[in-house]
Amino acid sequence: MGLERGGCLVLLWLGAACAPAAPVRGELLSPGVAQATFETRARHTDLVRVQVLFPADDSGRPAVAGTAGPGVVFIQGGAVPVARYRWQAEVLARAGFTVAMPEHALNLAFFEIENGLAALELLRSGPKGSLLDGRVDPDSIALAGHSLGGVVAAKVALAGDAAALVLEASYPDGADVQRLSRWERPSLSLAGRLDCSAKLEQTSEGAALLRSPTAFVVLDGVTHYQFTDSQREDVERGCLPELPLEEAHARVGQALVTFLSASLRGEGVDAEGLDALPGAEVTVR
Amino acid sequence: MSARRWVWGWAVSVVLGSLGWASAARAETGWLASSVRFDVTQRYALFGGPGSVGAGLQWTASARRAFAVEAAWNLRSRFAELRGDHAWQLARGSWAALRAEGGASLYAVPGPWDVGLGPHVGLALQLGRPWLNAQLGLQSGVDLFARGPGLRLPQRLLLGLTGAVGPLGWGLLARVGADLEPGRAFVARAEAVLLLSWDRIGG
Repeated sequence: MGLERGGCLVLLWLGAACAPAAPVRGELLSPGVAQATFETRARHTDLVRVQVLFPADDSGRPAVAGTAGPGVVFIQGGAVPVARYRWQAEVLARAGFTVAMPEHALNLAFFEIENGLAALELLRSGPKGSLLDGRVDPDSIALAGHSLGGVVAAKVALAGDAAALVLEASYPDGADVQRLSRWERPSLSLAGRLDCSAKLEQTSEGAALLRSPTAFVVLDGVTHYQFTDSQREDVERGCLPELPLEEAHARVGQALVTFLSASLRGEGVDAEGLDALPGAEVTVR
Repeated sequence: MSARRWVWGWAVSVVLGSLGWASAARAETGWLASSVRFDVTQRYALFGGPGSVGAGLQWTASARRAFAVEAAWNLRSRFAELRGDHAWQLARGSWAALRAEGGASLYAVPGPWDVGLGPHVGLALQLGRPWLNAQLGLQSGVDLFARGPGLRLPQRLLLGLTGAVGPLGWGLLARVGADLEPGRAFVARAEAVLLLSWDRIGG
């Protein structure tokens, strides 16, 4: 009997020690926004780290709200660390969204597409007692991704039946075109006019593949890496932005909040709100 | 560049690449079976790499048959794996040997709890002498898990160097490949371990 009890205690200890992390509070990044690291499983055995930014009170606990709010799963661009997109997640969290950013080996989301699905499932059914428990409306979660991350975001949105899709300086994989043409959820393709990596012709052609309701927003003077926290890569290769980074961030953030606020409330793409963006060419279908 | 240098360059690149890529690592079949010795009666081994650590035991049933069991703990993804293998020496020359392996893996995954089980098979060519061998093999398996859509088909290429000095054996083993799951994108896998063993030779 003692041996059995001892065995059970060891198993309980192992379960507790080895179970994925499910924080109840986060680290305050700025007033009203906190960040926590979750761990979840994908592909049966893999542990996936997910950075979660959320509206928080001064103690880093989720800000009190009456009902579950909207969520966004953000997929990093190829070989660009998740931390370089924290600014976007902060903007969204400040606007009331809970943002989950799954990490990928070698920062290559394309080889671990299930990590995005695992992050989507994490938001939909947050671990009991954790800060995500009941915090996100399972039917109001969008997928977003930059560059190669946009390609993966589209795949995850299709596989996970997300409520909306945002492609940032990106375009869908040819293999997904047929399914996307039948996908009826709102989408936004956000492009930089001076992008030297995902060129305007490519993003424009990609946006044309998305089914209505969809918006294609071209931001004047913006380059590929201005969607991250630094334009260093663009400058090093002679791809010079015409808009300061802070201004580019302000416009990207405004476009994201405008589109996601409307689309996750079931109100389409908010054409009027997008039209009000400064320095942007907006096409809505 | 000569063919030999190209082959060595490729092999070294794969091994180093495996070590660097080990954050995505998983191993499905036994490391002891991948470095099996038919000329010893028993082997005790410890192995470890960036992805996992573990220990195992091999015992030899005859000059052509051996059994191995090992337990491994995956460091990054924090789950346990128990592997059992049966190895057969199919053919042996003075500098080369061909062997087959068959066995099963058992997985215990905490939080949320999941268990997996599955058979695997392998075919490997061993080149060299007992004090220094090159290993080249193909491995394939089926893993079934209790949770979710549970089927996983690991496919691996084994590359390695093994050797022995008296009763002490060593091995630098790498495995690269992919997990195939019906209806899902494949996942690239790689892992490398250093294996140290103590061999009992003779009765």
